[in-house]
Amino acid sequence: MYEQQLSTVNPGLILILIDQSSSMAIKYADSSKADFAALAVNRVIGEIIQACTAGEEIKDRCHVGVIGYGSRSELLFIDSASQLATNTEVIDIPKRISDGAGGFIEVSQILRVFVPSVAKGSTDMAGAFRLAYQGIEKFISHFQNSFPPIVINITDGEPDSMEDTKQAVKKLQGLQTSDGSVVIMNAYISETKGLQIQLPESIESFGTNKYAQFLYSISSILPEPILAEAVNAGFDAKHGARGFIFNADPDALVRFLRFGTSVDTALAKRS
Amino acid sequence: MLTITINGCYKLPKVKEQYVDCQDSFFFDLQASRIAISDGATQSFYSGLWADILCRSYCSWPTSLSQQHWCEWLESAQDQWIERVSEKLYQLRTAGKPSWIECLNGLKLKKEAFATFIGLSLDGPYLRGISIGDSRAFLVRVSPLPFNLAEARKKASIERVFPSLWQHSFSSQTTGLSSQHNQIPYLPEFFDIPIPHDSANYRLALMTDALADYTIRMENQGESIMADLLSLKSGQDFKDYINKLRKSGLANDDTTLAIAGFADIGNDPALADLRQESDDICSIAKTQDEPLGVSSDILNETPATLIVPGVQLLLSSSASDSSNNNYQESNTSNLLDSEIGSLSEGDTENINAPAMGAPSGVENLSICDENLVGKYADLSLTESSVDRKISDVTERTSMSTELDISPPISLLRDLINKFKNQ
Repeated sequence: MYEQQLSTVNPGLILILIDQSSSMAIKYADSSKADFAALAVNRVIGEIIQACTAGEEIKDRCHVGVIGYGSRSELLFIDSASQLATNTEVIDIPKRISDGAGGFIEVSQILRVFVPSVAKGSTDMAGAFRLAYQGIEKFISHFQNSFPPIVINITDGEPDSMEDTKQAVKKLQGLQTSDGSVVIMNAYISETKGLQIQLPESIESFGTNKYAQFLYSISSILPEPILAEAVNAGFDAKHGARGFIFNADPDALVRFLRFGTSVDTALAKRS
Repeated sequence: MLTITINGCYKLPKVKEQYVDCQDSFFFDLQASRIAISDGATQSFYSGLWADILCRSYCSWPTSLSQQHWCEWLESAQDQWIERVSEKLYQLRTAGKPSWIECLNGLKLKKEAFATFIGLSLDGPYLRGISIGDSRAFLVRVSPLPFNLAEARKKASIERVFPSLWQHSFSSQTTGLSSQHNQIPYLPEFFDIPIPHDSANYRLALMTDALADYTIRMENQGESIMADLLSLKSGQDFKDYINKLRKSGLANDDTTLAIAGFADIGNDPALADLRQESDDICSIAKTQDEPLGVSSDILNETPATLIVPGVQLLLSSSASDSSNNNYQESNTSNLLDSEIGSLSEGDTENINAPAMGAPSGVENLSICDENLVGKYADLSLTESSVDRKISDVTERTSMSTELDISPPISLLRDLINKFKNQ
């Protein structure tokens, strides 16, 4: 289980749910949560395309989708890597790299823009998970033997309805390929410098914080192969850990996204 | 003059992938008596191209590589890679292919390609090699003289493995060569071994990691596959055999096998004229449909096959003086005389076929000594155990065990300073 290699015959699917409610306008890193989250998601999609690039060709070993949710939920796109690569909306962004002599230099990198920065309305997380169900159900109907789809939800606040969201997530977790059930991961980003909890294995870590408990309960227990990759990625993850990061700062969010979006390729490399 | 001969070079991509997706590479130059294989890391940047450049540049490098002079070769290869990737960028951009962005970003961010590498060359009476990573070269003794012809074809005993197994077993990370300058490299191993006197009884089998690991595992279990590998005759044979092994535990990975032998072609100018650049052979191979194989079949179609073990084979010098080996040079000549009539071009199998009614004394020849196979039953032991085995084999075959695998500290320091200062 959770060992299927990515290939054009059995591609993987990464589905990112991004909170676009008004609270995402709050300052975070050097910009806003909405700006940072959009940039982080655009970056990881770029990295997925890069990972699917073999020489001159972009192989459809992975599909990527993004659902944005505010007062309403909207499927922004769900496409194969090669299709995503045809996106001509690009920006230049700086990136620091090692100069090979112990220092750093800044170079510019071209980034395709898939997800706009939006911060408006309430938080229809339940609607987002229901849309995710539709997209994944359709994907699985075509690719029944693929590595199970991975859903990564990025949010900064309570959903409009925790109960509706729980129901939608429960239904989504019932979807599976021949290689295992859908894996759901949640990242709660916060501008406050509260205690950060990464991949917890116990709900007691959150005390009486009902919202944290809620997000913990809708996060999948990481299957052993994925847990091993989490450890490889530098997380202090133990048996029973869930795919949840609480009070993520910018670095932690990027690390979590990178881990979540590269699990299937990392497992494929090791098999 | 001793030269290497090529008995077969094959590569196969992972299951459900195309040949163009294969990141392995092989190359050989018969005139230079060099052969190389390389395994590009799947997720690295233009790794197949890097593996190809490493192999070709090694085979065409004007001097022998040594611990003191290998960096120039690597830097030259790195320059070639950057130039070729830059050309690719131009082509992609011009053709409007979306992947130009990935290519440009890769160059700007100094993404590297990474590859394992083994290169072997004949240098006078020595077999010189450079290796890094988990690809392997096996020096295999094949049996020329058992009494049973069918058994003879099955006998192949591994006598040496490069790089040494104990080093690999202690490493938790595959090492390799980076395509970017200013990347502190892993240091390769160098080896320098006198070629056995009875070199015609030896083969070199170079393999990338999946097949190498499987071969060693089977050897440990007493179910050697080496003879099967050495007897493959075509790309189709290779594909069928590898697919069979994949059902029995061979990892699904790009798989490359290159088999070489030794031949003394003397100073016959006619033979020298008939040598063909390996480029032509490789280009013939590339026009084939999958599976790709440059095998004895293909070599048979080119003049280069005359250098493949065939009627011109001469065993050089006398046999070893090991206590278990009473092989005599005169017996060798008698063997050849009796064999020449039955040998045909490219018919590598018959090289090792025993002559019926072999001269007395040959029975004691320590070829495919089953005890030797037993000695290597567990190839994954500690350094001291492997050293003992090497000593034992040395005693039997009088081979030198000069294995200079540890670069001197001063060289290490110089290399680190050089990369820091660039």
